This record gives sequence, C-alpha cells and structure tokens, in this order.
Amino acid sequence: MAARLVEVRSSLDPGFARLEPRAAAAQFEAVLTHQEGFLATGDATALRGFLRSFRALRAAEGLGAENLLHAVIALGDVAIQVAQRDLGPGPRTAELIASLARLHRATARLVVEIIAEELDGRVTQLRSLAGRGGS
Amino acid sequence: MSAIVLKTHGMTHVGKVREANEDAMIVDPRWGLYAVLDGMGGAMAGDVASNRARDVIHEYVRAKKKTLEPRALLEAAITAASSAVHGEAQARRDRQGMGTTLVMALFVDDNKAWVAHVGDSRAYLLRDGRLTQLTRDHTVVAELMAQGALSPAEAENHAYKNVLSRNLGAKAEARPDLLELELVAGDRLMLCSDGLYGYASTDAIQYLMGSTDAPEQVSRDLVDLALRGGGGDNVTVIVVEAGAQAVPRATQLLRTSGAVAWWARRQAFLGAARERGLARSPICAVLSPDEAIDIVAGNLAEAIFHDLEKSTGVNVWTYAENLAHGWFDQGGAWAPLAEMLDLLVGAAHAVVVAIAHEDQALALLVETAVQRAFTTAEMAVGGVLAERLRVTEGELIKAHTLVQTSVDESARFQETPTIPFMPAARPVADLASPEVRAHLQAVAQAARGVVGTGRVPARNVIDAIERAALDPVNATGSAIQARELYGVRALEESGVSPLFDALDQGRAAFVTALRRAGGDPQIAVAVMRRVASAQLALAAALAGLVVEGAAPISERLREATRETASLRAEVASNEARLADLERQYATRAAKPSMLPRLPRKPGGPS
Repeated sequence: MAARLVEVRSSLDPGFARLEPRAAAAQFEAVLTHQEGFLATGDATALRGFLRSFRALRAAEGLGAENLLHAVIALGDVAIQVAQRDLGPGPRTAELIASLARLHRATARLVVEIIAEELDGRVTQLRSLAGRGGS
Repeated sequence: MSAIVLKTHGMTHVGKVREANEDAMIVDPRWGLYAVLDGMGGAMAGDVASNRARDVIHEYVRAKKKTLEPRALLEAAITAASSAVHGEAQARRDRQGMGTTLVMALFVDDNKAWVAHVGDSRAYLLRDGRLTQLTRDHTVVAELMAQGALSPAEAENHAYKNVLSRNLGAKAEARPDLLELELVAGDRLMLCSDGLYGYASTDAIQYLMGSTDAPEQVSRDLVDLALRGGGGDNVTVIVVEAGAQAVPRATQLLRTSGAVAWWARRQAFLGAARERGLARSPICAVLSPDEAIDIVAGNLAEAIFHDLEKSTGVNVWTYAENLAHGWFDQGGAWAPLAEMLDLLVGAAHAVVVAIAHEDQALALLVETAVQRAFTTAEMAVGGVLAERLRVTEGELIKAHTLVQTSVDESARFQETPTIPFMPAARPVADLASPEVRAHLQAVAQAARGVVGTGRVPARNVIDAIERAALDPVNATGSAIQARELYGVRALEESGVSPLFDALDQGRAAFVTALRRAGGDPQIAVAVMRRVASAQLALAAALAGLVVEGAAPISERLREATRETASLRAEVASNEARLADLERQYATRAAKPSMLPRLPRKPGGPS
C-alpha cells in the first residue's frame, strides 16, 4: 500500500507532491502503522495522538486543516483500491474491505474532532481577547 | 489480435447559455475513429466549420485507412479538413475567420491508437484510477506556460486564456500534434471539448471516469457535471473503454444490488433512527418527530441510495454540508452533530445486520458502501469546520495584534502578530510507586546511552519524557516540557520534522532500554505505560504549539502566494501584450494593410 501511495502521491495532495519518495514513504508508513494498531486494538488514543502530530507537521508546511482531512481520506481510498485490486474477489477480501472502510471513517472522524477542538480553542481565545478589548 | 474489447459512447450538449451547438463529433467503432471538434466564428460559422471538418476527416479515413500508415493518414486527413474549412471561409465574407479545434483518436488495433489534436479540445487517459491529460492545449497561455512564463494558477485567470495559437481553418495547412498510444485492459480514453474541463474540476472528472459505470453512463455523467458547473459552453464527450476486464461484472451487479438492497430496507433504517432518538437531537428541535425522521433520516437514505447507484459521493456530500452549514450558522456546536452522525451510523448498521441474516456477502457490500458514505459525510462536515477555523484564525491574529498594541507596545517580543499559546492542560494526579520510579530512572539513563551524546534533541526528549513520566502533577507538565523543547529551536531553520523525529527516537530508545533492562514484568509494563503516556502527551502538546506557531506563518505564506501570483500574472500579461504588439509591428512592416488576427473563442469559460 505504501508503495502505491508513493506512486500516486502527487494526486493525493500538494504536501505529498513536494516530498521525495523516501520521505513520502516514511509518512505513509507512519499513517498505515498507526491505523493498523487501531484496527488491531480498537484503541484510538495512539492514532489520535499521531494525527495531531501529523496535523502540526503539515501546518508547519502551510497546509490547512482541511488538507489533513483530504489527505487522510485519499490515503484510505487508495488503501481500499489496493486491497480490492490485489486480493481479488472473495469473502475474506469483502470482510477486509469492510474493515478498511470502517477504519477509514473512524480516522476521518478523529481528524474532524481534532479540527473541531482547534476551532473551539480558537473561538475561546478570540472571546477572551475580545473581552480584553481586542475586537 | 489482442483480447481487448472496446466499448465507446459519445454525447454532445448545447449547454445552458449558447443557442446553437457548434461542437461536432465522430463515433465510428467500425473504422476505429473518434473525434471531437469545437467550432468557432460568428453567425453560425463555427457550426459550419466543425461540421465541414468532421465530414472531410470521416470521409478521408474511410477512403484511405487501408492504404496509408496511421501517421500519414492523420496528417493528410487533418490537412484536407483545414484546407476545406479555410477555402470555405475565404469564399464567403460572413464565414471569414471561422475555424475549429479537433481532437481525434484513430484505433489501428483494439489496443493501439493514434491521438491527434489541434487547438484546445483535449484527450485524457484514465489508468489505474489516475487521470492524465494526453494533449497540450494550443493556446497562447499554454505556450507561455510551456516556456515557464506562467504558472498553472496564473494561466487559469489569464486574459488570453481562450486565445488559440492553432486551429483548423485559419490556414490551408494544419499543424497537428500526434502521439501513439497503447491501451491496456481497464484504461479509459476520453476526448472532450473545453465545455467540459472549463466547467468541471479535474478531480471531479477523474472521479466520474473512475466509476464502474459503462461508458454511456460515464459520458452522460460528465456532461451533467459540466452543466451543473454552469454549462456556459457547448460540451462534447467521448469515452472509449478498453476491455471488459476493467469492470468486473460481478462487482457491477453487486453494486447495483447493494443499492437495491439498501433502498428496500429504507423503512428499517428510518425505524432504527427513530428508535435511537433522532427526533430528540437538538438539531431537530424545530421539527416534529415525524418530520425529523422524514427530512433528516429520509433524505440521507435517499442520498446514500443515489450515491450507491451511481458510484459517486456527491449526494451525501451535499446533504452533510448543508446540514453542517445550517447547524453551525445557528451557533450549533460540533458535539450534537457528531452524536447525530453516530446515531445515523448506528441505524445504518442495524440495516446491515438485518441483511446479514439473509446474505452475508451482500451485507458486507452494503456495510462498505454505507461506511464510505459516512466517510464522505465526515469529509463534508470537516470541510465546513476547517473553513470556520481558517476564518477564526484570521480574526484571532487581528484581535491579538490589537490587544498587543493597546496593552503595552514595549512588551512585544515579536514584530509579527501571532496566536498566544494555549494554556497548559491541567495535570492529573498519578504518582508512581518507588519501584516503578527507580526502574524508570534506570531505563531513562540507559535510553540516553542508546541515543549517545551526539543526538542532542533526542536526549532532550528523553529528559522531558522522564520528568513528565515521573511526576506529571507538578509544574513540569507536558505542555511546559513541550514549550522548552519547542523554544530551543527555530522553526524557520530546519522545519519541525527534526523535532518529531527526536520524539520518535526518544521513544524508541526507551523501548530498547526497557527491553534490555529485563526485571519484573509488571514493573516494566508500568514503566512502559508511563513512558508511552508521557510521550503521547508531549507529542500532543508539541503539536498544539507548532499549529499555533505556524498559523501566522501560514497566513503570511498564503498572502505572499496571492501577491506573487498576482504580480506574475501582471508580468505575463504585459509580456504577452508586448509580444502581440511586436507581431503587429512586424506584420505591418511587411504588409501594411494586414493586421494579424488571433482566433478568439467568444464567451469561452472564464
């Protein structure tokens, strides 16, 4: 999956398009590893922590919050496509694809939660500044 | 002979604005000939030009395909067409200046084709889910882009965007670009006029091209897409699909039956949503219980059905985006919306469970489809939140600048506005036993040995993790540790990657040291848990700081990008104007009575 992601990284988002293949592979591996951990344990804590770091990393590159969401969803889409293509039809493949689809949605939800939390924090700060006569 | 079977379909539409369709096309599977032509010229002359060129090319290919090599055949056919249009334009005053673009594919075998084009009609290839533009527009702007004088963003808004540098009919001869193409099973070739790509994003085109629908449906969907995008021009699309293997019939059938299965259980979904208390959601406060079920759950069920049926996500996206906008515009919070989405996911899952009793394979298919539909909903809602975040960050920077100015000018430690750090999270009491503390300190010491003396950031991370893991209740909390780590480096120098690399290295060193240390497994587990928790808290705090620190930089970057784009567009525009004037001057010098006339397509996409 990581190899396919590196191959199509330019079409995933501008942040990935700028990366060298090795750096891109490292980022994709990190995402997939954390997702794998979540799939195996059902514990979202580590994946959530990772996504926050990932968000920070990409924010430092000037990429917005929506960009992380699009990137994560594009990664999930490619993962599902690769599984469909490489495993061929069959009940086990269908089961895996359904699991990947659930994982995909759960990951998207974690990112949306991170964005919502950031928005909450910013709104609170804005109100606090407005109270001090800022706006 | 290859095993590939071609399936093709073409469609043309006048659009929503034009009165006549000046596009023309050829879809001739017998001769393996497919072409899209986009005519130009006033008083119906565009129509005449594209139809005339179409007829000449069609006739020429039928007459000479068996005797000429493909390249020679294409060049001769295109030249004959250009000559015919040019001759007609010269013969009648009201048709002077008429011309047409052309993109055509000539199949010499089921998997081998030649693609030729003149002007800005395009050929695209979809392979492995990726859409590639095969042709380069013959426009003044595209040529400037090829020379590096314009960026794609600048080209998008350039004044000469629709000015063609080549067409059929301007001169008797023509200069087509040709390429040879070998198709593999699963490929899709698409020919189109600018009425498609001028009114639809490449992403959306790729999305529809990648669907499992037949070419007939895909070409119809592409035309619909252009019409939804405004339909300001005639739009023509031809889709050629290579090989039946590309769309497994079983998948197609299952997808269709998935949609049917979902729709057949629509009432079960509504019932499950009702049971789970959808009507009690604050988002449905203004609706009666029946209305809540009908409008909120009913519309979603319908959107999922349509997306399943057509393999798109457009309906669920629109549904979720409207819901989010409506709710947030009222001042609604994220939590109730998240709860409502979870409730609807639960109701959909109940339907999947019911299907599983009858057909496990179908249930998995519907489960996948429903999960993907809800992922689309998350993406739409997340997009709305992200947009609000961007706006709020802009307001925050302004407000903070005002506060800094009004409070104490001399106290400002930075010249540029920034967002103040978020307050440190309140630590939670969690004291370690003496045995765990001792083991943790020993492991931390060993971890320092693992990273060595050279990797200072990783050692700093180990120190920070040790402090946070030993005593999370005192002032050395993760937020403060993170600030110290963040503060000893400059964002502009090396980016934030080394910081996060150091975090990973620190954690890895702890794991290695712990494994080497051995000892009581229970104590080792307790130490690992504390280290993991401290590392995670540190990473989260650091992430927060970087996001805050980067916000004003991102904003400045965006501003700088906008300004640069504007300046580059201005320079390019002036250069193009200069080149135009030079051409006019040169032509006047040679033939004072003639001025160069670049063909301009009236009312092209803006």
